[in-house]
Amino acid sequence: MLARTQFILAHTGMILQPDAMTLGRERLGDVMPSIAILTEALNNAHLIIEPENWTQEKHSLFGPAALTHDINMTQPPRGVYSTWFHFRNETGGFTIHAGSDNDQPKLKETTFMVDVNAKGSFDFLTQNSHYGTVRKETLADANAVAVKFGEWMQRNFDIATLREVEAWVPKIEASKQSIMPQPRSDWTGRFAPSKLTA
Amino acid sequence: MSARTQFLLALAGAGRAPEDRAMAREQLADIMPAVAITVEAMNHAHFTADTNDWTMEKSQKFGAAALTLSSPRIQPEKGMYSDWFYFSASPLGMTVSACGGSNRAEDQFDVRIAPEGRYEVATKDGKQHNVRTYTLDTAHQVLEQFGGWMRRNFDEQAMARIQSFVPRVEESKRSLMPQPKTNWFGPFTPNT
Repeated sequence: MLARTQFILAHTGMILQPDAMTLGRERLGDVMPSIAILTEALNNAHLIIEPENWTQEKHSLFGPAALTHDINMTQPPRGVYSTWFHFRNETGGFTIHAGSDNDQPKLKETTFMVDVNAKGSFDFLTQNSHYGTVRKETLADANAVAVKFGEWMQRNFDIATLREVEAWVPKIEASKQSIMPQPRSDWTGRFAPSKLTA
Repeated sequence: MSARTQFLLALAGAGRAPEDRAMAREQLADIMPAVAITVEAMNHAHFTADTNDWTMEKSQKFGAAALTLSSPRIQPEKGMYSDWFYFSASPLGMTVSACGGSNRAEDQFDVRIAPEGRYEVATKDGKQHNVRTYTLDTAHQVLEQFGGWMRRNFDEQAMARIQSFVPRVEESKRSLMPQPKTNWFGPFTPNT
């Protein structure tokens, strides 16, 4: 049962509340696609070489989409990105790691990490390149995690980079939509705001 | 661009913040599947007809899934349901409506998104008069109020039946979902 459905039923007094961590993780899942898309846009914005010169193999291994979601967190060949970003989806949360050819990305906070704790709150942490904690906070709401991510971007990237990221986002969103097949019924799609905008 | 992504970019200092309402509507959509599943389970729990008499056509038209999300709303034939329930989503909110013979204090659970992005929840009686009203900050609080509405308006037996149908309804929704061509959309669901 979805933790949220269990949460509704628990409010009727019939069943136990869902595990707080499970419910927290489900809520975190709502904000993760936006954050992952922005991470991929960060990779696009930090690409140095022209993608036209890439072979298909290189693209599928080290292209921004592949690199962002690479579970082994592979390091791209030298000179491909000025900085690169891995988005790692975990059972208890997610982590974003920045890397560079010098092993010392210019960012003040190279790691952005969120863990759902036993109470269902969100332990947020950023670290510098030496894994020293820069910021740390426990947040009650998954939307507050999203806010922290926006603020992390604001602190760690200049406006020119952010403009590039902004330009990449619609293209990445469209590419993600294109790899989604149509469901056999319209059930899952019907709650999407885009389908309902007057 | 999704309102959430636009919101994050705006926080970072690039682009304009999305309209508060758009952002709130996106967050409301996150909880809608759980509400719609529960409403469909309510229809199953109030089904009174003998399924042996049902044709495929009848099932497609008046079955719990079809009835729940019917738009325009279909009224079931007499004797099919003791009560029946509709779930409707709109650009600015959602509504759960109960119909039938039960003397329920609150026939409707209605959520509207206010211009500043908050959730105005109203429960209404059969004459469309407000019974309870709340203004809430988060979609998660809407979920709590929906649970409270259920607790006040269903007896324990009905609740037990609804509860027993929920896993089956969830499973049927999953079976309607195709496998994506890549696992991109899958990784964020807690079940994977």
